[in-house]
Amino acid sequence: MGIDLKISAADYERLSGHLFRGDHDEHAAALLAAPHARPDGGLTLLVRELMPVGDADFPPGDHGYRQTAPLFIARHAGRAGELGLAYLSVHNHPGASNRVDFSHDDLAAHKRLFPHLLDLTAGTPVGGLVLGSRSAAGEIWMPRGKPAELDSLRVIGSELEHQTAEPRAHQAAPMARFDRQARLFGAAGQSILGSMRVGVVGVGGGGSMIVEQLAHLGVGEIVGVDHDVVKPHNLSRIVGATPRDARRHVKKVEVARRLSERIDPDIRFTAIDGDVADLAVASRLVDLDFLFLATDTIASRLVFNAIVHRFLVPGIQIGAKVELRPGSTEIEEVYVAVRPVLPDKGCLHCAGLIDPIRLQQEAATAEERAAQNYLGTAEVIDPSVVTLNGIAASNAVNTMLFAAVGLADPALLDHRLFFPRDGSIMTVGARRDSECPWCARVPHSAYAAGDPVDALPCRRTPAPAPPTTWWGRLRRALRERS
Amino acid sequence: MGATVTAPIADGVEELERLFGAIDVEPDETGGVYVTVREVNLGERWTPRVVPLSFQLGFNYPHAAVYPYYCPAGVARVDGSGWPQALQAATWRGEPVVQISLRANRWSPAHDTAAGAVAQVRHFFQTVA
Repeated sequence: MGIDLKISAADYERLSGHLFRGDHDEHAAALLAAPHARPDGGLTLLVRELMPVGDADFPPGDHGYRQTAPLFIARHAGRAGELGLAYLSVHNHPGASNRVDFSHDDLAAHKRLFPHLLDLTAGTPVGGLVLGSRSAAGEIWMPRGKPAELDSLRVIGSELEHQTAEPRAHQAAPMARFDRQARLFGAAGQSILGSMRVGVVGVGGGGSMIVEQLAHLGVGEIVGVDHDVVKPHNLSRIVGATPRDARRHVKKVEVARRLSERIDPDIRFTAIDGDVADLAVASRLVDLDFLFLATDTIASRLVFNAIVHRFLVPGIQIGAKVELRPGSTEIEEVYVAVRPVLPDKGCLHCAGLIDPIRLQQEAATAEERAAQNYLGTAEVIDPSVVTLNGIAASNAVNTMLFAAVGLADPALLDHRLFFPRDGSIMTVGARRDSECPWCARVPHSAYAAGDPVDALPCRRTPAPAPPTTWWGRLRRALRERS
Repeated sequence: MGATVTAPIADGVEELERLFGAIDVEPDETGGVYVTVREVNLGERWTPRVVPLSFQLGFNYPHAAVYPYYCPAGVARVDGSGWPQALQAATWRGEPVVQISLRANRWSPAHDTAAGAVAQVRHFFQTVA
């Protein structure tokens, strides 16, 4: 429970650059943020727009040191209400570093102003935010109920920062099993990993390696998603899968759960037996701290990209590709792709990696696809090799790790292609489509749009009928309990 | 049993109806719909000159393009010459059809719509094919 505010690193840099100018003075800004009601009863606010308050609109105040001009507030709070967004008034305390709190004048101003702002926004939250150079405190007012404190400001970028009003208490010493890795990033880094909820969509060849590494690192929770069962041809790649699993058609998510539990039984593993293209599955991923995509469908790429941008969940898509010359078995190219996707960087739509024709073909039934393939190119089973998956998985998990513990250089968030035949690595420059429906800062974009979750571009499947037999009900109850 | 359609699909269907008149809409199982625009004028070089044109709006329309399109088997050039490469005989939803494999080279979910796609097919028959 509680209230979090998420902001992209680019917006945060702009905000802190405006507030902390080196003049040791207070400055102000306003944020418009989309609300997302979490299933745990908490609220996440997603920063969609940032408006710096000019000095002329932040004059010395009658009640406090400075106050934002009423006209500025009225204009932007009114617009927030029209757009269904929260209005947040932000200022800085220039001397504050990793501890910050509101002054008495600040809190008095909230009491005077926010009831009127709630009328202006017509039902969306309003709030105040005060920033230190590495800290944030906030007070959020809802139309009903008491004002609530902001839990944390989460900055989504090459560093995944959690800013709070005061430093969080970290574990004094990590458990023995983490001793060697904690020597790289400290007890604080290990504590950050232990608090993370990480999704792995697709726990086949590449995804199972990601699960394995996340379990060794000691993340708090792994959410594995896959609808498929283990088949004999998977045994050359899925970590932890056995011939018995293939014989018994064991679900890949159950193999991943077993793998995680064997490595570290303290890690919570949530197995989702389903397809991320289904709304019921995708909606369970929008509150995670990080998301890996290790599937080969374009529909899953679309949904992953949508979750990253709509709910500001950082993620990485991985893939390995062996391209054959058309009509032959001769190898044209072998490469491994690691593509970090963040709110302001790496959008898969902008990179041309979500083919609208393939999306439509995947939406067709198997019969319809077969009829279309009869006329066009036949479906080809691509080669797949464990070593290639290993390159992708290790690089992807390493990128998440370094971002989480504050060791990443911004360049680590570039899309990268690895060419195992000659060992070369290519960095792919980020492309931005100014009209992108996901990442562009235009009115029609889904960027930081938050709720409703069912606006995700997902398949709507009718809910399955409840089991009619007692053992079916028991099996479902056990599955839900686990 | 059909699932609820998304707002973009509802908008796309409404625009088709506004611009092309009578249409038939049938939900698929996933939140998309099968659409038939009852009367599309292919132009004087084709017989029959006016045909129904069918296609699917997938659950992730408009991110998914509209592709391919289908009209009833029997469509032919008036002069008896063969079909262009984009047309081929096929079966769709149990019926013999002509499949029209026309794809927008730069489909953009921000600008392209099902109505625009149908207009492009009509333009193809009337001026290009």
